[in-house]
Amino acid sequence: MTQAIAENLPSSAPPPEQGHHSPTTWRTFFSFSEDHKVIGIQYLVTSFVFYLIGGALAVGVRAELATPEVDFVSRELYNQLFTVHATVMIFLWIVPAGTGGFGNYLLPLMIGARDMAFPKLNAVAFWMIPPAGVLLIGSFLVEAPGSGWTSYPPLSLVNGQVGEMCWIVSVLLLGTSSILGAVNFSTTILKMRRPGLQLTQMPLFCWAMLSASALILISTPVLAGALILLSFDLMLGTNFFNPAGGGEPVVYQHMFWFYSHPAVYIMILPVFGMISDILPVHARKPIFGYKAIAYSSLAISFLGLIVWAHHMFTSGTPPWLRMFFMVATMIIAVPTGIKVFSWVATIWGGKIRLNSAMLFSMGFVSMFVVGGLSGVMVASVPFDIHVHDTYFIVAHLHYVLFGGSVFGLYAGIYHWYPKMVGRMLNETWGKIHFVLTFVGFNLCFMPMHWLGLQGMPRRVAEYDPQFATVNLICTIGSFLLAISTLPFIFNAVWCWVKGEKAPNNPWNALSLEWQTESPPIPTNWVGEPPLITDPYAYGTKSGRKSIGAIRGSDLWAAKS
Amino acid sequence: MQTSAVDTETTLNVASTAAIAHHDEHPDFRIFGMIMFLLAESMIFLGLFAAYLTFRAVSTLPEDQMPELELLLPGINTLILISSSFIIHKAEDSIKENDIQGVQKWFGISAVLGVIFWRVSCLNTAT
Ligand SMILES: [Cu+2]
Repeated sequence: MTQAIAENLPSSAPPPEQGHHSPTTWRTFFSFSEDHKVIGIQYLVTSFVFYLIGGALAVGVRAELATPEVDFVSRELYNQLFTVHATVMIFLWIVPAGTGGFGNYLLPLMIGARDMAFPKLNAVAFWMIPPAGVLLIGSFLVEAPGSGWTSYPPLSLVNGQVGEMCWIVSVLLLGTSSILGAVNFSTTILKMRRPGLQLTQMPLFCWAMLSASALILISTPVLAGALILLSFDLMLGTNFFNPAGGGEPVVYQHMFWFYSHPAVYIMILPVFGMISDILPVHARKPIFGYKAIAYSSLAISFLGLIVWAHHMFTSGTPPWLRMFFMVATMIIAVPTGIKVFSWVATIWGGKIRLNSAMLFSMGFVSMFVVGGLSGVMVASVPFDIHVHDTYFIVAHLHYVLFGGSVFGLYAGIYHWYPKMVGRMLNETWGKIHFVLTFVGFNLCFMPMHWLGLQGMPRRVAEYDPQFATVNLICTIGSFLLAISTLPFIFNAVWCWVKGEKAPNNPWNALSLEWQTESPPIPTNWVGEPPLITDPYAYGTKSGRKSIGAIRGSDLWAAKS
Repeated sequence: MQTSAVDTETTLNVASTAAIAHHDEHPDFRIFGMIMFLLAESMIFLGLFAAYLTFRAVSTLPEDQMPELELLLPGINTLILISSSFIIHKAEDSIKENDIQGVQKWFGISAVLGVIFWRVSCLNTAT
């Protein structure tokens, strides 16, 4: 099965071809580089900066909610804070970091390609993000959008044209960037694999990126269509969605959620892929159920496209339609459950290396399960009608997007930092970071389940005084979360400069990205990349043998 | 489970000049990428059509106020738009064949179509 390639070819390693590449310095990261590794790091660092900004906005929201009265910020500013917070976290942090950041950095390395299929397009996609981010956050200087990240009409039509247009243009730019990225990812995965590497031999991250790219290509344009119509209503006085002129706000909701439910999977699928690649390495065991995990990503993609109206159970959706969307939504728990069981079975009885990457991965699995279970709860129509627009939803979505996506992104950073930077992260600081994040996260969001069940509505600056104590606990948790980023920033910056030099393959991993230098040379490999047909053969005899034999460039150096 | 993770022998054997050449000239997948992009772009229109149908289904407007779908003029313009792709393609073919008259003919037709399109659009928005 592995002997797929012609054998009568000369076996001398070719000379390195680095002549026309200038070395990567800090300046490279501020240039229009077409190297997928540079672009990947550009995405990660840029989106992390936006994460800090979005986090600061969240701290503003929680500071306001520390007391039941409106005291810290005005009601208007409060609305703007949570609107921009959500937009930043989704469109400027999780989507670009998961797909653009890790997707760009890892995909070509994992499939043995020199670069992405369209390097220039790749750079264009990245450079659309900073202006969009500046436009969105800079809107605070003039007039920030304050209609929630959903921007439902008619509210969004009466809340101020300037802020709303800033929001629309920014999201359109980010959506375009995301579509261009997905064109690149799908073409790269389907067409650029090293000769001899089959789809079912790719690391699972590639499957996850393929599924996420399909979702981006299919759903993001529909959001673009909705936003264009919304901007017509806003600026030209048309009445597509404006009920005052006979328009239908519910049509906007359908179009919006046709993108924004799949967006959840665009944010979580790449992380699913990363976790599937991190757990086996640090548990020293083969992945459990490769094909089940790979194909369940595709199943999630497909199902993710037909469940959007579960966000509209209280929007006058007719009962038969609610029934369909309720059942379809609950079915998604099946492929997702397959993944969770496979992950647990992978680490079951493993020789676990409990480092920061593994802690965040296991934190991801446990927190995501909480978010997934509350997801099944709100999928059911009668329960959802009770908790719609309450803090129960806020708790649920943060367990999925923070406990899920953000924990997973951190796990990915701890795991691949040595490859990207060529230096090791400090483990002690990593563990401090994990404990602070885990405690702060649960302190902040766990009590919100109770608040929601008691009926505290979301998106309001003031609340019933009976909720004061619990809200204070949430606020303390959010401050702890803000503090928790400090050890990480310190660790990442310090180790970039002074960290211990990373070997090529510090985790003794089998997948292809570890079989080259840390950081990889601009052409990724000296010579042809190795053919790795089973990147998960940990603990097997052949796995042990091959890991001794293959150490990236050493292999080629020894051979030439 | 497959038996071999990293087949060193195969791996080394593959290090061929042929395979290297494959990688070093950056392969051209523009057509494939374009299809991916068109797939995405067509979703905008599919979304707009679906939105229109949804509007008709959920709108509470009384029957006589329901906006009517204009078919004739937009239909003509859609035909012009689609045929212009083929006409420009024809013009391009003529360029490749060094057929100056052909280029002039096809570009001329597309200019005429452009004028018709513009007039029809004016009529359409005027009503
Ligand atoms: Cu949803």
